[in-house]
Amino acid sequence: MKRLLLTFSLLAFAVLAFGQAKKPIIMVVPSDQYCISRGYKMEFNNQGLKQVLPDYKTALQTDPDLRLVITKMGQIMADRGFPLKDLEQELKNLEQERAESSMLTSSSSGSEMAESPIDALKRVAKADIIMDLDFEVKRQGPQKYIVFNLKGLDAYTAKQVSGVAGAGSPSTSASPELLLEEAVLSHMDNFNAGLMRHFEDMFAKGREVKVQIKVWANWGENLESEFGSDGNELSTIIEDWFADNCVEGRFNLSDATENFMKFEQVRIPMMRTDEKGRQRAVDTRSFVSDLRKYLNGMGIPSKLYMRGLGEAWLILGEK
Amino acid sequence: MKKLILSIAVLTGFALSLNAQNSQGKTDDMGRIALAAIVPEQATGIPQEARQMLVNKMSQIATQNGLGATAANPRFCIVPLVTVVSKEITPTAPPMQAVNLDVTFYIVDAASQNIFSQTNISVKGVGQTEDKAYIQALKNINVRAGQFKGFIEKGKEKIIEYYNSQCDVVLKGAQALAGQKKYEEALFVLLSVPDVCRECFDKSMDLSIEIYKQYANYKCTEYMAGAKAAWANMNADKAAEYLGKITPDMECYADAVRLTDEITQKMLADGANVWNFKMKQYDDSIEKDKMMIQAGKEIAVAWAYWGAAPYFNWDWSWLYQQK
Repeated sequence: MKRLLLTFSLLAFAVLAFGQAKKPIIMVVPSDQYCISRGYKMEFNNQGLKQVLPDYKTALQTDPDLRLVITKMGQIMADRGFPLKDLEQELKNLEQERAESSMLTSSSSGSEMAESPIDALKRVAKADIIMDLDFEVKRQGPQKYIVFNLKGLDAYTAKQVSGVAGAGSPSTSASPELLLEEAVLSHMDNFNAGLMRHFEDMFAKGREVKVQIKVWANWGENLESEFGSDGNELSTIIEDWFADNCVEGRFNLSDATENFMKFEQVRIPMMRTDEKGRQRAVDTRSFVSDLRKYLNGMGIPSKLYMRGLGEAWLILGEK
Repeated sequence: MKKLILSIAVLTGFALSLNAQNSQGKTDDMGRIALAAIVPEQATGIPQEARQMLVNKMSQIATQNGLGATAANPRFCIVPLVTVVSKEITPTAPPMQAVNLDVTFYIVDAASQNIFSQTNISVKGVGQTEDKAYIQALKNINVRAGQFKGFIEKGKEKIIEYYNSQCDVVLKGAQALAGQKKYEEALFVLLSVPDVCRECFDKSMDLSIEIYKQYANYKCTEYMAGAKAAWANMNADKAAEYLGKITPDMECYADAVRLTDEITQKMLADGANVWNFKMKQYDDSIEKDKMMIQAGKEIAVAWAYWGAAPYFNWDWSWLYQQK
C-alpha cells in the first residue's frame, strides 16, 4: 500500500512538473562493462592506440536477457510518467535517416542536402539522462540470483543523479526471466525516487547545465581583451553576466585561460516570461542565446553551438 | 540584278562556309601534356574504397585544367599523399570516426623522380567506418578551387622547363644506358620526352634512331649466333625461327641471307622438299626513319610494360617513404 501511494505521488508530481518545462530524454544503455565482458564490442586502431567500444546493436539484437530487462524498465518508467527512448529503435531510426538523407536530392537541380562533418557527427543516439545498466545472473550452490547495478547519469554534467545496486533474492526454481523481472521491480522505485529528487532540485534551484566560452583562432581579440566603457576584461564581463542571470547567481567557473572559459554547475531557470508575456521553457540554447545577444551589443559576434539540452558552446569572433 | 544575286549568293556561301568551320580553339603546347591520376600501392593508409574516389578527384582536376591521361602511360602523374592529422572515435551509439586529413597533391615525373608542383588541402570527414569518414572527407575536395589551376599550370611549366634545361642530361643518360646495353630503357627515356619540348624532342628522336640501330645490331648478332648454333645441330626449323627475327635494317642481314641460302641449298641437296622459308622484307616506300622510331617506341613500351610490371611498376618509394 505504501509503495502504491509513493508511486502515485511521484506520478502526480512528474505530470505537474513536466507539463510545460523541457523534458529530459531518458534512455537505458547497457554499461560498457556489460557489453565488453560479453563480447559485444568493437575494436579500433586509433593512430596506434587500441580503443574498445561497446557494440550496442549486436548486444540488443542477440542478448534476450538484456531485452527483457530494458522492456521491464521501459514499462515501469512509462507507468510513472517517464517514457523511455528505446535505444534499439533509435539506432534503427538513425540508420534509416542516414540512408534517406544520402538519397534525398532536389527534384529541380539534383542538389544534395548540405551536411558538414559536424552534422554527420551529430547523428548519434542522444539522451539527457542515461540509465547505465549492468546485471549478471550468479549462482550460489543450487540457487540463482541477480546482481543489479543501475546508474542515472546526466549526460552533460556527467553527474550521477540516481543509482541503485544490489542483489535480488536467491531462488532455486525461478527462471532467469523471473529473477530479472523481480530484480527490476524491486530496484526501480528506489531508482525513481533518486531521479525525482534530482528533478525536484532542478525545479527549486534551476536546471544544471554546462557552458563553454571559446574563441575562433582568426579573431584578433581574446578573453583578456578589454571591452566596454569601464575597460573590463571580456572574461570578467562574461562572468558578471552569469552572476546576473543564473538562478540565485549559482555557477562555477571551473577553468579559464585567455582562449576559453568553462562554466559548470550553471543553474538556469526552468521557465521564463518572453517579450509577449508567455511562459516559455528554458534550455541551454535559449539561455546562452541571451549572452550571445548581450555580447553582440558590445560588437562581439559569436557562434552558438549546441551539445544537447544540457550543454552549449559560445565561440567568439565570428558566426 | 544579276550582279546582286551573284553577290548575295557569294556572301551567303562565304558565311555558311565560315559557320561550318570548327570554332574550337587550338590547345597550346602546355595543354598537350597529359597527366595521369594515380594512387600508387605505396601510398599506404588510404582505404580501398577511398582510393577510387581520390583517383576520380585527381582526374577531374587534370581535365578541368587541361588534359587527363589514362594510367596506361603514366610518366607524368598527379599523385596524392594523404596524412591523417587527427582521428577521433566517439564513444557514442553508434561510434563515429572523425578524420582530419591533410591531402598533398604532387605533379611528378615517375621516371626521373622529379616533383614539378605541389598543393595542399585540409579536409574533414565523419562516418561510421574509417572508409566512410575518408570518403566523406575526400568528397569535400573542390576540384574547381583556384589553387588547382595554379598547381597544374605550374606543374606543366616545370615539365617543359625541365626538358628544356635538362635535355643534355636526358640524352647523355640515354647514351649511357645504351653503352650498358640497356637499349630498351634508353629508348624509353628518349621516347618519353614530350613533343611540346620541340628542340629536345627532335634531338631525342634523332638519338633514338641511332640507339635503335645499335639495339637492332646487338639483337642481330644474338639471332645469328642462335641460328648458326641451331644449324650446327641440323635443326633447320629452329634456325629459321632465329633468322625470321632478323629484319633488313639490321647490319647482319646480308650474313643472314647467306646462311638462309646455305641452308636452302643443303636441304635441297639432301632431297628435302622446297624449304619455303622467306626472310622479312620491307616495303621501300616506308620511310626508314619513321619506321625505326615506331619500332623503337614499341620496344620502349614493351620494356616499360613487361619490365616494370603493373602500373608500369614505377618505384614510388622516393615519394612514399615508409615509416
